Amino acid sequence: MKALAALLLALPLGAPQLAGGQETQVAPDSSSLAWTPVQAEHLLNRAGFGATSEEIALAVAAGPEAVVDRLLAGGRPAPAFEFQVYRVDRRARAAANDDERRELDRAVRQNNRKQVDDFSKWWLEQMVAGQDPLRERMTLILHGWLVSAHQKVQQSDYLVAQNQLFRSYALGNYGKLLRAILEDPAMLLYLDNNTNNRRKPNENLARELMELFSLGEGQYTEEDIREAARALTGYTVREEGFFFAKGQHDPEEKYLLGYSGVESADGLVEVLLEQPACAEYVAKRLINEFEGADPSPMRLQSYAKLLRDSKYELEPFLRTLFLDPAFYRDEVMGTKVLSPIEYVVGTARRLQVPVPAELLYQAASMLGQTLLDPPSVKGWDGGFAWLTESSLMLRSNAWGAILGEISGKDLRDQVAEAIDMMDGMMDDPDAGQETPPEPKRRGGPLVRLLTTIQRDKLAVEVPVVAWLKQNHKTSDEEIAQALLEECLAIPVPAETQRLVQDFLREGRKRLNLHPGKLLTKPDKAQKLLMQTLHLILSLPEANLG
Amino acid sequence: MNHRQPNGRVSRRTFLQASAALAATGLVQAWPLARRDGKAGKLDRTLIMIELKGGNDGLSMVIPTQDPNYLRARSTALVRPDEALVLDPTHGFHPGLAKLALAFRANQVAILEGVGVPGGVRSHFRATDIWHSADPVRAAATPGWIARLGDMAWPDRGSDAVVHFGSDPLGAHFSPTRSPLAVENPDHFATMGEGPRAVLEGQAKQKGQAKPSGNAALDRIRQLSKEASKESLRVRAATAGYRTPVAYPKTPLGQSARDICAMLNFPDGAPPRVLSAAVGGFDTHAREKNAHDRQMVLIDEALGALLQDLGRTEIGREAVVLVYSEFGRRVNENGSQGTDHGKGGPSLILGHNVQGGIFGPTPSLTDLDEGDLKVTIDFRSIYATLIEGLFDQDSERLLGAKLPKLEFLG
Repeated sequence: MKALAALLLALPLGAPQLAGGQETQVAPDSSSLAWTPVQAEHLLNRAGFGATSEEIALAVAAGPEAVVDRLLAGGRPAPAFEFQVYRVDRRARAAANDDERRELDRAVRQNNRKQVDDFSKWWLEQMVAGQDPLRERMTLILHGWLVSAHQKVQQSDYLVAQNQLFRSYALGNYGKLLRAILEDPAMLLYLDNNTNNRRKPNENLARELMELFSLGEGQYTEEDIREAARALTGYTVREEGFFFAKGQHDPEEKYLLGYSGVESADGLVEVLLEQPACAEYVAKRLINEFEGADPSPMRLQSYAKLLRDSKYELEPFLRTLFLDPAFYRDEVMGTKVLSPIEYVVGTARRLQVPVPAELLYQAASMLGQTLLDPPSVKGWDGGFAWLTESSLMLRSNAWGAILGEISGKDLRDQVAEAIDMMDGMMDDPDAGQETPPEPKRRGGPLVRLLTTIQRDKLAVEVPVVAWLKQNHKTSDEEIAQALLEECLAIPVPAETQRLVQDFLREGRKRLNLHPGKLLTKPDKAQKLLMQTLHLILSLPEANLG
Repeated sequence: MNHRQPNGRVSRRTFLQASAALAATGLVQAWPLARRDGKAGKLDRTLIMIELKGGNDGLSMVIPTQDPNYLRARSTALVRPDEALVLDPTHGFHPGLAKLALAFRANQVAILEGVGVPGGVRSHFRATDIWHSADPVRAAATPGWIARLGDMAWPDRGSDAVVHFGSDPLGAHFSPTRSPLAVENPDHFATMGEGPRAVLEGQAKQKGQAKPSGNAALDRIRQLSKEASKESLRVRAATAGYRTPVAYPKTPLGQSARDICAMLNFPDGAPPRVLSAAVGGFDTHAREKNAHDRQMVLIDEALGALLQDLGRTEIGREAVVLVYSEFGRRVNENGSQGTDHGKGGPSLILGHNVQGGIFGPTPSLTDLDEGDLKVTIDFRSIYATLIEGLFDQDSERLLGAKLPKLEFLG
């Protein structure tokens, strides 16, 4: 404390002065922005979840400012998700015997799990068909940033309420959100602040607040964390929700980051927002979310200043970013690895057929992104962390299952093929005492997805033949080009188009149809074209946006 | 005629036939006796890494059974010293670690005490980055240490030299030029469906590098896709076709342990040099006792089975298992019947050809570093020992620092 005392600034604490905006704001020259379908699609991909060719054409005609205005204004707000509160009845529990108690707990757990699933599916529907794509996108970003997970929280209503909090601040003020999240029941439970009390402080929330939500690593000391944890003592959760337990709160003055006079969350958040590191960290995080790459130091400085000058308002920040020619530079366009949510939602949007939310939810989960259940307080790593040899194949298999191109039999066949291969390598595979391998050794999410699709007859048929006829695409080349453009977020190189074209040509030949005549046999053509769609969604290009 | 050796390895003739069979599929390149590293009669040794994610509470794993301060520091998260499995007069294992305690008595377990990042780092992410990069200063900016080791020890091998089971491969495996083969569920690691099978498998058979597309991210995914097709059948054959009498637990870690052993014992002559898996659930800030007890049983069952299975083959007996966590936990409990992030903690080395025992000074529960056990063994000393002892490489060159080596390799 002595070392800090020397640093104490004479700032009026509790109400730190935010820097005034004398200097000019960042004003990237949007007049120099090229605006073709490529840029329009890029903006709609990144600010929302992908666009159909009609939406792109409309955006090109409207011009960038009008598109950004509309994204920021949003459309019809999402209808509210009506949620229930599922808690164990304490009195009933106290009166119950062991078996009854287990049953009570189980029922509550199941109801909460189901509500989380239902809400996640509702949210996916908003992403696919909602009128407010930027709000959905920002809500997803905030969810992966100010993380809480059902696995720990176990109260679905708190998680739904937290999502509504993100929605309401998604295009609002980050500083206010930071303050609000410190009274958010899901967050307080997720980071153990419900047990942070004056006698034995728990540092979890204080640490992540600084490291992940505001300042970034290396911008504070362990002492700062201890002081911040003390400021947050007593911020806890009761049945009804947030509760400030005065008796557990440490009322003594806290000293942190060079400031004295901090008492509780109000002062703590003000001190954090005042740090130059905070605006920089928040600006960098946001730019990285939308561009998929870190900004240059100079550009970061101007965006950090924009954030400070606007007192952490997100709307001017996003408007500037989306009209910044640097947002459309080569390094950014078509180079971001799609997250599983982006991959399944974007594809469903582009295919323009209803895909049951249940399937989108299972597919994204299988690919590593379960809504309301991020893997750690750090959220999802993103970028190339999404892609491994096996996740790449799993992405292809997810759409293969949804489009009805893969069945449980395919799965069993390839396990049998693998066992045969191994047996072929040994003269006497069953020598010794060893147990023979069981075919179909493991279940897992792909099996679950296939079972759901088969049981509920949910395989999605895309009316490709009708669509191609309507758009007058007949030759192999035209069909390949049209389907690639329609299904993928980025333009593909010529050699990729040739691959798809060759696949179509070979298939057409097998059907004994002359060039340009594929659509004359609609039933057979439809089968081949569904295979082609699956192929397109399995290409390396399908993972970028 | 049975050409298999009593120890379960295939004979050389069978092995050559098998390699040829695999090569004939066009999906797998036959590896010309890579198992031998040129030094007469010496088998390439394998490193198996098991990461305990979240910061394992070392004091609830290796119990200081005679230290009265332990009882004082832990009122509810306590592992009762009289229930600990005796390792020596002053140390005991958590009672859930029954299989590992037996292995310890068989000289198959080395316990390294007080391991950590020098000075301690209490952030999960920074500590994990440091363990993976072996660079306490630049951490996330430095390529992974296993990737750097690959550049030195197996420069000509592709991603099949390092195999991770699970969805989230370790940062240690990555560099701008290297990535591991990461397999989440080997049974579903297959190209299926008419379209993808016709085109993607054909793509994978094309020799040489494709010409750059002008989009570096796309080129990287194309390479990944090609690797995936190339490795898919081999990995599925190794895992789905694996035969072992050892009963592995049905947990994800248990299945990963089985897959690890299956890859190691796959008779195609190109065993991986490094295999890994990770398991979460160690970040026990609140109500630690039950959660940590379960974690101990979970790792004991998986690692016990792994050790048993490794004992069946020569290459398995030469393998070394490193079990580590990014940091230990605070000595004193917090107010939530849990423990907060700490500094030093134990790492384990398992194997049939290791020097068992307890290494490093027993950490003091009173002479602390900000309430944490002091770090008395720089984690890089473990790496240095492995780099030199297992892979015959210059650890100072790889780590950029000269670290004292430990004695756990016998």
